[in-house]
Amino acid sequence: MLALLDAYARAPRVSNPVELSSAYLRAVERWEALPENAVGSDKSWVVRSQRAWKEHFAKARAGNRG
Amino acid sequence: MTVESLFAALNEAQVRYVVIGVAGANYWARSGQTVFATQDLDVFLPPDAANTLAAWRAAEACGLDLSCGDEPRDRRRDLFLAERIVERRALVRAADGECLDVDFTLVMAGFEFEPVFLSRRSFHVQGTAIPVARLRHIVASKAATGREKDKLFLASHAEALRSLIDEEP
Repeated sequence: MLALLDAYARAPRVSNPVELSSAYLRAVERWEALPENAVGSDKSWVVRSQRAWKEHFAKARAGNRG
Repeated sequence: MTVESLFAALNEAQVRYVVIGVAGANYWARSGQTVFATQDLDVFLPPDAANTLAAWRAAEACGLDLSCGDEPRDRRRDLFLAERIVERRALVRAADGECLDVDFTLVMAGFEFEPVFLSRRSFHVQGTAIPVARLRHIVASKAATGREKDKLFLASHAEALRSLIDEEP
């Protein structure tokens, strides 16, 4: 187990950073400030959406195996 | 097993964590059109062995199986192992074998845990509070990593925000 962890820690981390435009970063800040993104906003619909997507692809994978 | 029940268990165990990655960005979405498909849920933990162990135990209590690389799933989880995992910043995956794959990560490219945690935003899912990293931190981390899939996400995300970019005076 520890050998596996050491190998993981030694593995090179590939990084090729990209620069974000100032216009995009300002848009992100405005997006964060939208009323839909206020503290305590209900995001249950996001989870429902992600769950539906995962179930759809799980069924598709199962169909491909069958 | 639902994601909100995992978050409820983490909250109940007073685990310090914050949701990052594409799944984290999705909580900032305004509509289904700005939700991105992702298989994984990335949960960022501080480099704290006791907190890490508490997160594992909460996940196991929810019926999730833990794994690290090729390590056998029946290995005993204890503070010793948590300390070794934290030292090496290794990733531990919790999965239900169906639709839920959670990555407990101790690494967020370009960021330490505390600044991200302190500026998190709390959203709610079915009444459960979910701490999510600021969108600006999530995209900056994606940019710092710069993998092809991150670049693709950033390009798609910029397109999703196009109206705000274009509205700029």
